[in-house]
Amino acid sequence: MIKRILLATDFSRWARRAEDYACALACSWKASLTVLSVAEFPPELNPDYSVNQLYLGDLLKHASSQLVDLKSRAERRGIAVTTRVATGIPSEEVITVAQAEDSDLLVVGTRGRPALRMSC
Amino acid sequence: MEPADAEDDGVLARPVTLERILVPVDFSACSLDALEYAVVVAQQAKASLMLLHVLEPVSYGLDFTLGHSRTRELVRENWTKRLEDLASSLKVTDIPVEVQLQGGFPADSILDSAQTLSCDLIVMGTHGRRGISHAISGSVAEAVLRKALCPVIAVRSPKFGPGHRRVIPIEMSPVTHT
Repeated sequence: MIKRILLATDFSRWARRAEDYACALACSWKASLTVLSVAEFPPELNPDYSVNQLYLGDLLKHASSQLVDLKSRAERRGIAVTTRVATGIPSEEVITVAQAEDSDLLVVGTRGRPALRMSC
Repeated sequence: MEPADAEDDGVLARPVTLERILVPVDFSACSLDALEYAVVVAQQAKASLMLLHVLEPVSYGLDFTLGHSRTRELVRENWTKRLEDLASSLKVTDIPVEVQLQGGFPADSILDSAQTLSCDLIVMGTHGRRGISHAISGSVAEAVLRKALCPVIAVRSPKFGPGHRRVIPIEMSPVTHT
């Protein structure tokens, strides 16, 4: 029933916990795993400015290298892994990819890298 | 660096297990959908189910009197029976099912029960008895998602495989709180 799992990660330690769950579920249910990392880039930032380009390039480089590590970790456990990188607002990109991939289960950590502290 | 405290470390170090699934039900159609989904997850994971219904605190009647304790008892019995009916409709699945009736505020009771009954996963609907008007996703589901120490599957619209045979009724007769 749950055959396609989408894991969205920011590589924080809480996301790492979500990764553990995603891998455990993918293993026992023989599901495929898509791992998405979103380079957070607000639409107000002009991607033509070189400083923004540098910033975005850094984000993407970091995300790709982390994704390579994650992929090899998961593949060692015998899971079929696809990785994806997106740019934009994380919550929106995750939903877009979940729909595009027709995912059955979305796994995300509830606390990531702190940006603004939530009030609760 | 991310802030870390002892509680966080304890949670992060726990091994990944999936043996008991907590399913809070308020008997709304959405919560029954979530239960149906939980059944599928439990079958796939070979886990047991814990059905929980939260009785909200007694409110004063219009004449400012609290209901008699006898009526409160009747209400309790009534809900326990409904929970047991729901559990018995799961007999065909061979999944071990337990039921629990708790008093309190829904989100707090759910979070509390998840801990005390050592559940590994919570499966719940995103909008319950209070309806969809309560923001897009329910406030209870949102509070549980934010604060739970175990994973939560929030079911907005369940997605079942082809040929899925439903075991849970789609709707149950409404019950008026007395």
